[in-house]
Amino acid sequence: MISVKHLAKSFDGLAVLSDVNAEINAGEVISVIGPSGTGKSTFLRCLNLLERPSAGEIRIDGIDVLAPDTDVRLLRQKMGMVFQSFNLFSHLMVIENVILGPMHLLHLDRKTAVARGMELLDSVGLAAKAHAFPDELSGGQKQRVAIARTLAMKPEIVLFDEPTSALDPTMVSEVLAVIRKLASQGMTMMIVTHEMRFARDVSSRIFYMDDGTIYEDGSPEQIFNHPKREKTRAFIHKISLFEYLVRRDDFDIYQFNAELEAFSIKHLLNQQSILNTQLICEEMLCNILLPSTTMVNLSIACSEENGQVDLSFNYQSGEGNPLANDDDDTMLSRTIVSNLTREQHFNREHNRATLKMTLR
Amino acid sequence: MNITKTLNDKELVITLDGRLDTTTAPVLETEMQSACEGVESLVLDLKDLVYISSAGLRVILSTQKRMAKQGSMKIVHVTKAVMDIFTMTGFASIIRIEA
Amino acid sequence: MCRRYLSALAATATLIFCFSGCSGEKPPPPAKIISNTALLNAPQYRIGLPEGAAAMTAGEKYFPQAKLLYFNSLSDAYTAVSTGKIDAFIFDRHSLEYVQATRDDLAVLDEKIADEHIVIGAPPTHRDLMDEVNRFIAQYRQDGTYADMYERWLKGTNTTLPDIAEPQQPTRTLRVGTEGLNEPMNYYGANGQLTGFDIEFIRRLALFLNARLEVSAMTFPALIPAAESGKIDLLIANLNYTPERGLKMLFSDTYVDSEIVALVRKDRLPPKRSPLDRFHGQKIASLAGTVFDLHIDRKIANVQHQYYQDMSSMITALQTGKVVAVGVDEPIGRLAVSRFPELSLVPVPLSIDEYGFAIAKGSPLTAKASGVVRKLRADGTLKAMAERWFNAQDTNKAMPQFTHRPDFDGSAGVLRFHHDNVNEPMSYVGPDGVSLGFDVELAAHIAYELNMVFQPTPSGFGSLLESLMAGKADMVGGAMSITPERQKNVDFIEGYYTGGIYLLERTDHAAVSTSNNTAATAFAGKLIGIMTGSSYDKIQKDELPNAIPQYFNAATDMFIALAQGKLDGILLDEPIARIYSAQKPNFAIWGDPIVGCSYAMVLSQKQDDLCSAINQLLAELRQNGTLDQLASKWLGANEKEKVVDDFPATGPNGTLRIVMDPVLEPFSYIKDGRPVGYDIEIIIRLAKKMGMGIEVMTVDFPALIPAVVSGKADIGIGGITVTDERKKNVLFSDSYYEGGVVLLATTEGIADADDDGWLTRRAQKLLKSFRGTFVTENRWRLVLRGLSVTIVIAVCSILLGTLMGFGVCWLRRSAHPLLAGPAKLYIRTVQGTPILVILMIIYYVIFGSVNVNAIAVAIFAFAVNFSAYCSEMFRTGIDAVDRGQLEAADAIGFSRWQSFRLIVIPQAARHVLPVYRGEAIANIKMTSIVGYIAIQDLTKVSDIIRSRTYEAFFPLIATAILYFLLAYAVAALLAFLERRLQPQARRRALTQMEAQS
Repeated sequence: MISVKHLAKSFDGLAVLSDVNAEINAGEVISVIGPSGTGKSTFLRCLNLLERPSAGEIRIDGIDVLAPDTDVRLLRQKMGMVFQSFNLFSHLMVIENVILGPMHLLHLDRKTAVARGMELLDSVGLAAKAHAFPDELSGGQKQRVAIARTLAMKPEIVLFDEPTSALDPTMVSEVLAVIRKLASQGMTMMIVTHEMRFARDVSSRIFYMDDGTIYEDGSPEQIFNHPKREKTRAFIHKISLFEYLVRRDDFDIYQFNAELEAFSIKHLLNQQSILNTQLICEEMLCNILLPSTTMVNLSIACSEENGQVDLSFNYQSGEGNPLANDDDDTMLSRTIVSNLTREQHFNREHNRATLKMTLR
Repeated sequence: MNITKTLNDKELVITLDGRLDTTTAPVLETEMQSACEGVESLVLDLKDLVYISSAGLRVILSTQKRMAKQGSMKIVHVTKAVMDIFTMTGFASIIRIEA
Repeated sequence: MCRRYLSALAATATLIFCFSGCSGEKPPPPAKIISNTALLNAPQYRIGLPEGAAAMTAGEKYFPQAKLLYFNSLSDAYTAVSTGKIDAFIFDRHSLEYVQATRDDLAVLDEKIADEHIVIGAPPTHRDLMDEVNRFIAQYRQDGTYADMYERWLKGTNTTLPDIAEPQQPTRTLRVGTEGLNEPMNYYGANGQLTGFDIEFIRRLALFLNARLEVSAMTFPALIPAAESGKIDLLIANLNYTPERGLKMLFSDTYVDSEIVALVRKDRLPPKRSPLDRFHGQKIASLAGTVFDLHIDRKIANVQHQYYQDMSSMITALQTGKVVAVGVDEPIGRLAVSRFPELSLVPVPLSIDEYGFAIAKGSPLTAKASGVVRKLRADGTLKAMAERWFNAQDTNKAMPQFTHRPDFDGSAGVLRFHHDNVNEPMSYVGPDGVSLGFDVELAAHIAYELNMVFQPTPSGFGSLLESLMAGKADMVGGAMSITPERQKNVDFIEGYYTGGIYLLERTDHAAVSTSNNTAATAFAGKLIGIMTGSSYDKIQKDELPNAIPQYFNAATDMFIALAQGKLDGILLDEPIARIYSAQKPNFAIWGDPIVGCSYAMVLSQKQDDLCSAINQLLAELRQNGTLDQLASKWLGANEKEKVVDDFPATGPNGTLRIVMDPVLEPFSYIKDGRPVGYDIEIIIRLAKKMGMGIEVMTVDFPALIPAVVSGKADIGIGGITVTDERKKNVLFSDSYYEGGVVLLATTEGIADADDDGWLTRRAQKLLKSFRGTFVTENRWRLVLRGLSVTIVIAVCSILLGTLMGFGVCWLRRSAHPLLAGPAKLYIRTVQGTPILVILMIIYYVIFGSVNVNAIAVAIFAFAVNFSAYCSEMFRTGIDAVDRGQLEAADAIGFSRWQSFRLIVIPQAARHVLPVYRGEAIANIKMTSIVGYIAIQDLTKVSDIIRSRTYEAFFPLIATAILYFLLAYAVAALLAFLERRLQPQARRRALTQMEAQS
């Protein structure tokens, strides 16, 4: 349906997209993920010419979008877009927002447009707010109206540009629910998002964008679980890695615990796992390692797949595995750590020791 | 962590609320030293304790030793997680733990 | 809501109520003193006119408002004036001056009413004769005969017909008709013969024509038919040209230049002002025993006489201020002035006397002494003596020794000469008792010349004559005046010195109370009102250097300021000041004119031809008396008369474009909504003569000359003073009025007429103000016209400016620098320039030479100004619309225009409207300046009304209220629009709609 060849876009000499190639077919739900500034939104906005590409070709249903005689407006009517900042028309009521396009562009009469509009609002759960003004709605409600407005134009494809990034976490789920429903109805969609779990669940395809191009393209399983290429892996990995440099002389355990807790919550760990992780860290750091070493590189990886939590302690040492010691001072701590973890693995190369373990 | 003391005649009930870890254990230690004066029966109510680390264990141990001289000590209302810790470290057999 | 507005209205009404000014008009009674002829043109005066004479026409023309009575007999007329049956009789100057000379209760008002040209009539067939008569007239003027005859007959009382030869062999007969009842022109003399100026004239004419003279006298009404029918060859009888007569007979050139003046009773003449007036009621010192006090009383009223014994105590009294003046003999005064520089002589003498020595009646000495005096006068001795004796420098004066007569032996006797002993320098006594003085020396001369021994005896003045008559003295003197009184008892030798009685005063006293210097002193440090752009600035700096000038743009504001006491005086043209002081009892001209000046019309320096045409017309009008007539009409007190004929806007030869300041009564002003005035009348005549229409533009005075210079108008009028400065930039016509600049000040005490309560008075005043502003002369029409002009300009400029604003905004927001750059420049320039300057630039520079409707220009100028602000307003409003919404609209597939229309405009409008409302109202108020480009809008109309009624508050407050209502209407409309645009309003409408469906 959409074919993109060697798409490039520069802003003020800075190349944001350098060579993007993609084929998007009807019925696909593609999530575009990647680090910030890699041109995900730019790519999306090039498709409906909100940004003008510096080079390359975009064809929608075979029509060259960049040709001078192309009726861009007509093409745009076939593509819907949902924005991060909703962009509802603030002087119009909700229902008016929804019927504006259909009436002026699809030339529907008012009655039909209103009827259809009400249906759509109903499908996003906001029929009751038909006569409200955008400034009277919450963020999640606004975005759902925005989706209804887009759907009113009967688009062939809907582009979502970070639809939940501006939302309070409590409202994210209601919007994601609507998008999920759309996907299940077979709508072709391209979604730029940071919601990894959501991206996994709903997409048929994942574009990982990096280096000004689509770095890796595959199914969610492929990308999230077995990322092939290095940057993909780093990205996937990074987002579930908690790294912390612990210094003996200014270790603020409160801050550490708070950050650890935040990371854990983000990765949907349950409360007990969180406490256990904290306990392991406390025992390891406070009682086992820091008495004898000044710095510890701690990293905790949380796997999206199975929720597995891997801890890694890296430090300078000339000794062996501290868990294998037998002194009385550390006995309690060692016991606790041993009981709460499995697969403890110690490795020392020269002066650097790495102790890895997995939370039970 | 919050420490609540309730004195019933010669029995002192200390209720702990929160975490007993390397930062809060010293506070409890100090508290115990003074609170235990003249107490014959010490009851540690841990129903609101969600976390205990080795630092906490040591404080309990030292309290136990102290109380042994002047009376008895027991721990009540332990949560499962904390119980697991007591069990894996062998404290369950050193300290009197009641439900 | 109604209640709120009602109370606001009530508050406004109360405000006006409290601030209303006052004005009152009462018909005045006939004045006792007739100070000028223009005064007579009012219904309360009765004026006599001579039937059939030129004066009759003049009288009807210049005094249409007065009650006119016609007289056939001159003596009846004179009697009527004398008894008071009529206030004045209008006739020829030469006749009336004769009357004045011969009857001491009648006097001629000096002011000329009109010129009169006395001519001679002849039957229409006598063309050749008339040519000869004209040749004679030319000759008799040129060779001085006329002047001589005028002097004799009309100015003097030598009314003898000189002997004029009759032609020896006349070749024809000249039959002349005359009246014979017109002293001194033609009348029956003491011997029953016809005599007079005219008679002498025709005798001379007969001689010139070598004709035999046949004179027949008949009544004036019979003379004309006689001339028309040819029964007489010439008609000479105070004849003047009229168009009707001109149809039936021929007229010669003027042979007697006369004027038409008014005869009044002497007691109605305005008192002659003299420098002695300031001594009225003052203390004046006189020498006891002299008749100075009598002389003083004859010339000055209500003097408080202070008598002193000698000169020095009088001078001390003068110096210490106990008296303001001292009566002195002229020589003594001269000496005093020379000796005391702080004193000076008042130049007007109280009497003029000859000094002489008294000698006993019948004495032969008298003739002899007189002979000596004559001799001494002839050879200059008297003069030399005067210089010596009246010179203060020489303190050691001594009698000279006479040695020039070798044969003197004093054998003729002793000349006992008694003289005044304290009358320096005439006759006094020196330190060692020696007789000194001019008189003494003269007496000594006389004695010497008569070979007598000179024996002077100092004495008191009072006893001189007694001594003489008692025989104790032969001759007495001492600045003794030769008076008829004394001559009853003594003889006087020939007068040897013309002295007189003068007043000696302190110089600083003189300085303060004499003409022009008075104004400068009296107004030092005071506030004087001056019109900007007028020539009074220079006059004030030159003549009243210590006055503090206050500048005004409109004459009306100056008068109001003066009436309110904010000014002490206004510098004004004399005619304008005359009118205002006549109309308003609390204004009066202060003192004498400060400077004289002439008024003329201004033209661009390129308009030589038009200027010549004007000058030609002015010359004609001046000669045939029209100018004078117009001046009387427009400078008089009769308002009803001050109207002009209608004039067309265009004529076959085009249109004369006139520019004027509409508040300069009496030269150019607005009455009944039309331009009238002295200058307008002249222009109407000019236009008629040139076959052109007239278009009148009104501006404030400072804009008048620029309008002419820039070519917007052909002629500028309005009593414009001719100055060298102005001559640099404009062309002046000949002057059509000689005026001057005077100071107008308020008289004290404004009478409060009624005894009604304060509230009633206020209500009456309010009512009068209302009437004056709206009702009189249908001024409400003027107000309505001004209001409609304001509305048109305001509304059209707002609409046009908004449209232009859209355009400029679009340009400004364009991405192309070629479009946005000029737009930015335009906006910054317009916003940074004062609207008045924009208006003037557009009118005078951009449309300078183009003849464009001023209102269109005003609309354009205000639209330009408004558009700059609109464009910025719109830009801000548009930019304020969330960019994201525009992206959403793009993404949906709207065109740029659709998204602008559906998304931007509704939201921008809501941002813009409150500011737009404020700017629109500001624009409405700004239109009040269009008076500068000759548009009569509401503000200008208020100016005009104020200039007629002299009230500040009612017209101004009424204007303010009208502007407020207009602004309120516009604001309400826009507020309504704002409400309609509110999205919430639509929701209510929509839900209602859906509820119904």
